[in-house]
Amino acid sequence: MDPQLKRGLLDICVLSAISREDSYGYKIIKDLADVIEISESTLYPILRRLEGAGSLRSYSVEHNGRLRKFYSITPKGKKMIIEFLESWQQVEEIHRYILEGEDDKAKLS
Amino acid sequence: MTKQNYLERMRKCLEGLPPEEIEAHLAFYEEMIDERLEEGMSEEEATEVMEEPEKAAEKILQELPLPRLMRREPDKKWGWKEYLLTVLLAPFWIPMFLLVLGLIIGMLGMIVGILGGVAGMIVGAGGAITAFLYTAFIHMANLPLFLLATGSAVFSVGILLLLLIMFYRCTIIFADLPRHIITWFKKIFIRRRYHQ
Repeated sequence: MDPQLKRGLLDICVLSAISREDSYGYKIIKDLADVIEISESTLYPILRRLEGAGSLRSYSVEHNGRLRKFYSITPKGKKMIIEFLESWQQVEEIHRYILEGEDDKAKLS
Repeated sequence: MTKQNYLERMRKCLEGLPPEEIEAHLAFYEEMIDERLEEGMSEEEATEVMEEPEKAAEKILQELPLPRLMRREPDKKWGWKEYLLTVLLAPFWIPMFLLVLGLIIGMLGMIVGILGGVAGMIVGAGGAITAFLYTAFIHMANLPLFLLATGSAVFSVGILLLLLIMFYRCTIIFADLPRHIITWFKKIFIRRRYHQ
């Protein structure tokens, strides 16, 4: 996938992953693995950026004698997902338009 | 590599940041290793599947604003050697400094130029369109002249739109340029740390 496009999508993917239920770093990566590949060193700056922007909050929970950091989505983060879904409709229209063009070409040849 | 090795290598790359920030960064990666250990991997396997500590640190540093990245350098006490070196290297760093200053002023000039260009185009084309329409209006009885003037007005609108689109395209390219330059510039400060 085009890196620019992937960059934009990853933020939303992470927000969506934690919007289902509060989640922690390793679980986010595993949950997203089927949809989009993301390494911890890519995820970490995204989490920090989103937290800094107030799109998510974090809290620590004790687990097996160590701390596990959980992330939960904020109203601002939810709004980002909704905005993404709205703008995606436009992308779908473009996709349909491009597909039509390819179909026409296939018919002609 | 062991978990401790991984975290130490990362800590080295992050040196110069506030200690509590470094600990927060390392805590995330320690958690990542611990999660894998709990799944039954060995420390070797866990650090093997993860990105190299230097790469991970670089990604963290790339997110920092440039001034913070530069301030990361430890403040060394200046002795006579440093002062002497500064004076001796003046022929090198003064032109370098002027070059950077010139580039910044140039960039600002380019922005002013673009704004001025757009304003000039709109004023110029706007004036021409008004003049053509005015000519068309007062020579309504003279059909060829009326058509010529109206046509010219439409033509001017077209030229204006074309130029505005071209300008818009150029601006997009220029707007993306600083981001590339900054990424590259930050790399210098990050790389320098690795080799120390």
